Amino acid sequence: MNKTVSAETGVKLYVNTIIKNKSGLIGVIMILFFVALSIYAVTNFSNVSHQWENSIYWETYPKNAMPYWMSYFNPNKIFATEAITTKPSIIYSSNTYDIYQLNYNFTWYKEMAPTDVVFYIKTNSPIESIQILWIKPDGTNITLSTTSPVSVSDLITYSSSIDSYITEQIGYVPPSTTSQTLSQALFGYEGKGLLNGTIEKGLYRISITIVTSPNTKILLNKVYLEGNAYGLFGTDSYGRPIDLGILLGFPNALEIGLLTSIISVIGGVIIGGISGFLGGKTDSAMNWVTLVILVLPALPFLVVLSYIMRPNLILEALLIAFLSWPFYAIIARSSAQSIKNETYVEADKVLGIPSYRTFFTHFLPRLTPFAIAYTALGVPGAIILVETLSFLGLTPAGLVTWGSILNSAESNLAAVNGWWWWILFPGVMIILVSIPFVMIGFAIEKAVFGGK
Amino acid sequence: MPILTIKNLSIHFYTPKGVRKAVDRVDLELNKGEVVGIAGESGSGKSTLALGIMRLINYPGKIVSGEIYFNEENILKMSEDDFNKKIRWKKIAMIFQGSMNGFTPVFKIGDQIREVMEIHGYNGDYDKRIKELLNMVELDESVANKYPHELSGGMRQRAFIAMALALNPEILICDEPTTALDVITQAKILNLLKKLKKELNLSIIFITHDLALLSEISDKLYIMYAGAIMERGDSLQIYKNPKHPYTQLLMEAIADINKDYIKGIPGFMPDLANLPNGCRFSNRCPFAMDICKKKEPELKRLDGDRYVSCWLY
Amino acid sequence: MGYKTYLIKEIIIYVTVLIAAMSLLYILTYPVIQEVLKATVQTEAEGFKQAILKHASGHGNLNLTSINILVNKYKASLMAAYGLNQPLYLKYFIQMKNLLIFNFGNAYFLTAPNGSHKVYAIIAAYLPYTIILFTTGTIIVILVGTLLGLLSARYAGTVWDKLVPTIAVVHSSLPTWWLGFLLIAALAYAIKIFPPGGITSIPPPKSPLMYSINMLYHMALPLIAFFIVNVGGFAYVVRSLVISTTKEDFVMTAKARGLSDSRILYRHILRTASPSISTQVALAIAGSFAGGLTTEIVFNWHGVGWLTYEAILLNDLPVILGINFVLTVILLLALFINEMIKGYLDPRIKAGE
Ligand SMILES: Nc1ncnc2c1ncn2[C@@H]1O[C@H](COP(=O)(O)OP(=O)(O)O)[C@@H](O)[C@H]1O
Ligand code: SF4
Ligand SMILES: [Mg+2]
Repeated sequence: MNKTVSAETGVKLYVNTIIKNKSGLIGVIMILFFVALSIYAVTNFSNVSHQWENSIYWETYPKNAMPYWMSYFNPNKIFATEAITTKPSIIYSSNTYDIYQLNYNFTWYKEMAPTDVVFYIKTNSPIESIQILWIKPDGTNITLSTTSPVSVSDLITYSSSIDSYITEQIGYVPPSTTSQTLSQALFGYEGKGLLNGTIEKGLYRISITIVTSPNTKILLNKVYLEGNAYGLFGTDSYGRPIDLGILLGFPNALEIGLLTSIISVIGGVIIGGISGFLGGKTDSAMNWVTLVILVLPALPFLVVLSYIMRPNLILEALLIAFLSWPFYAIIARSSAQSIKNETYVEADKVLGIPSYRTFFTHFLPRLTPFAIAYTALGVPGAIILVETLSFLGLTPAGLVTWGSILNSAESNLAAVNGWWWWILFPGVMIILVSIPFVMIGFAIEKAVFGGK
Repeated sequence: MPILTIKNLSIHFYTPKGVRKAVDRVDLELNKGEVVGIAGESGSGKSTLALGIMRLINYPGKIVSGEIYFNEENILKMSEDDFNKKIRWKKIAMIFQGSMNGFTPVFKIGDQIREVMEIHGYNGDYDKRIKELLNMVELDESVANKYPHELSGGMRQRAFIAMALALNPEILICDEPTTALDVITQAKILNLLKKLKKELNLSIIFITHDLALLSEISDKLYIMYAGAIMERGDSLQIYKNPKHPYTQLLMEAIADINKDYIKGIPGFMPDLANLPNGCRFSNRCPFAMDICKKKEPELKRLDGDRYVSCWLY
Repeated sequence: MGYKTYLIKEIIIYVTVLIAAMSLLYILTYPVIQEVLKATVQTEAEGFKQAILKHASGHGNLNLTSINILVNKYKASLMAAYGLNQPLYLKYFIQMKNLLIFNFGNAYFLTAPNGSHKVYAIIAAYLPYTIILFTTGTIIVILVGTLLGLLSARYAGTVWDKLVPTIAVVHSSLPTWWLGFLLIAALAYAIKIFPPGGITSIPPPKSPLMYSINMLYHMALPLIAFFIVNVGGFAYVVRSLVISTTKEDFVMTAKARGLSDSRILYRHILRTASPSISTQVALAIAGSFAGGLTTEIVFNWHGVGWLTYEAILLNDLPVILGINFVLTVILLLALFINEMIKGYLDPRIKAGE
């Protein structure tokens, strides 16, 4: 093998190798797909990402819903949210107040009550009072009312009405009422067995009466029969769809992973390359600096710095790069030393070509393929570090990351409650996005070092 | 009866770019006490042939046909275990171009020679034998206690020769044993081999790309090109009167000291996975004729043990 | 260069590296931590003042000026306790000197289980748990990883050979804490096989035997997660080292000498690759003392990683510095010992370069 391949044919060779290597090719395709997803996320959902921490924004979404495709296994117990709407009719109007009535009909044949019922009435001025008559298929009914009417109300809003209804039916005060129990009360047969899980099937009617100030318009109205299944990956305790969060996390993961890896590899290759190239005192000094950074306990150190600096994405990339370049410097240094021992560099010295030129003509080109391999291999490490920091609550401000989703899964006791989709999918994404980089890195590594 | 007879040996490498016929139907005979030289450009299959004799062809290479007789036994038919016990190093030893790196770096020279004797069940006093061997290759006895990196390249090569001789082999294969050494050390090693051949009545296969070197040591000469033998015969006769155009060009090149003889022949050796039709030298041969591109010449016997593979004869 | 000079030179390098690394940590964390401490002093002084005022309202013999003097005195004592009133360079030198003599001072907020405020007592209380979990895990990973790496290097082209790069991909793409989190959800809550976290049950069993069994039971899940994630990486490194050694000239000549494959692998190749493997072992074991910070948090395993995180959340600078110092010293020691072992294993190094 001719050792003095020019850099250009060298790089071409590696590109070829990656693409020819089956796993390398799969890696490239996967990355292109992820990049496309990222672009899609950035162009279509950047406004949603600003709302991510705003729980009101997600109010009408089902909470802790499992992935929708789970309903395939048990459609009567696992189902999506249904929304119904109606045409409001004005039943009284005066110059002091207006009364509207909204009548909804729906049929319910599932084995389980909705996880919650959300009433959404958007008006152009505040609602002064609201009363809901809930009529079950057998004609029994319950009236829900609240002292503080709002435009979006769920069953918890009416818990005092429902609680007293339950007490009346079963004969004692219910121990604790979740949205699910409240909903069961609205769907169960009246009597002692109200909460035993049986569901009255058939046509339900809801009649909502609201009192508003005069000339108020109802802009939108909806009743959500909240399901327990939503979207590809379900929702979290705030109703945020996991699939959306994952999508929003894509550009951030890729950006920071690539940025960090590129900065640290370039830094490491230049520092290690120069160090190995120059040798002597400079080499010892640079080696010492490398060692100083290398011995810092990386994660604790990074956690300290992220905690006190609260970095944005770029600064965080720089911080991680600052702690990881020594690994590349060490390898680059030893490569540079072995290149240096090769005769043509010696020959250059004899010919008196200034050494900086030798560095750029002989060293950097030879280190390029090496740098590409390590950049690819460095990306997963960087992504995992960032997601780890996020998981510890150190997400760069304003970003949605998979680590931050997992962080809220942990603090909302997802493991205890069995909300596996909240834990599983964001983590799987970390793996999925890492794998192609590892595969490409291994493929180049094989091409660069395997041929010897 | 030759001590080593190779008949119709073919060794192919199954690479992604095709099947490389590194050794293509080669015949060879080595008589007791004789030095057979094999010469040819780099990449012509010399090392593959040598490794084939030692049965050291690794994936993706394979010995696809042929027989190799040591005395009268076909060593290709032996089980790996038998071959290890009876032949390898005991009867046939080998020194390599990289022999100076042939010692395991973490063990002392003496211990490595001892290991070879131990696993092959040498009877006798190991320490005495090691000293004897080191003396034989003109090394100080203290070398036994040294690590490989403590010796110079030439000393390591000598030490390796000592290790090769440890079990009194009958055949010594030398694959470019001097290529990586400086000229003075080269000459010393060569003289050492000549001396050992005489003293121990060794039979030697000496491989090199440096034809000039062979004139000093070989009795018989084989010229190899692109995996096949182009010409063979008595060494002196070939030097005096090369027949094959390839041999002639090689000879011209060494006669002219100003010419690097490999570059001296215009053109490139063909891809061993993609040999031209007819004569494999036809793309570079100044005498090429029509038939040369159509039909492959056989290795024809001219007289005595002189053979040439060329349509000119 | 004699071996002694070589040794002294190495020691100087390692000590200066240690000081430089600690200075870096100190300088980078200094400004923010100072702010936090000043704020803490301010709120504590304010609380003190309110308490006096409440108390004084009943008596009337304390006027506002004397109260202010009292508060200022209290403030000054707090400033002194947190070391806030010394000039910067002095603070730095005192801090470095104290670190080097392993005097980490008192923690601001954290305490050891026995009530001590001494940083070294706190670290000493938590470090053993990290060692029990992660050093054990690392040793298992090293043993199994080496075995897998050797098998994969030896049986090129077989399942073994393909297995190791595949599990190495797992290593490079799977965060241990996430796997732990998932395992907790699956094996501690969904199917209740393992405890979800902690070092022992609460209250811990009385008898030492039951205590140990209980602790092993709690270690199982984090160990499984740690093992799954890390074994592939170690195996891959061993495999690469062995394979690159296999390509060296001496392996072919060893074969020519009639040595058996297993003798070549286990005696010649492994022995030659052992200095590099020893470096990997040293780094892995040194790294294990830092624990998996995040993994410890997920499993509520109160080791050094967990302690570090608590200290960071509380801005407990002496503890943060102390832990980082101890971990850095351990790493440097490991590197140093590794140099010595390498010198022993590799005759090329023993010569003193
Ligand atoms: N391990 C191998 N894999 C593929 N091809 C090989 C291998 N070893 C040798 N070859 C091929 O065999 C040919 C002969 O090589 P070699 O025997 O080393 O030649 P020489 O010793 O005459 O220089 C080369 O052209 C090379 O392409
Ligand atoms: S056969 Fe033809 S081409 Fe081949 S060497 Fe002879 S003359 Fe030249
Ligand atoms: Mg050769």
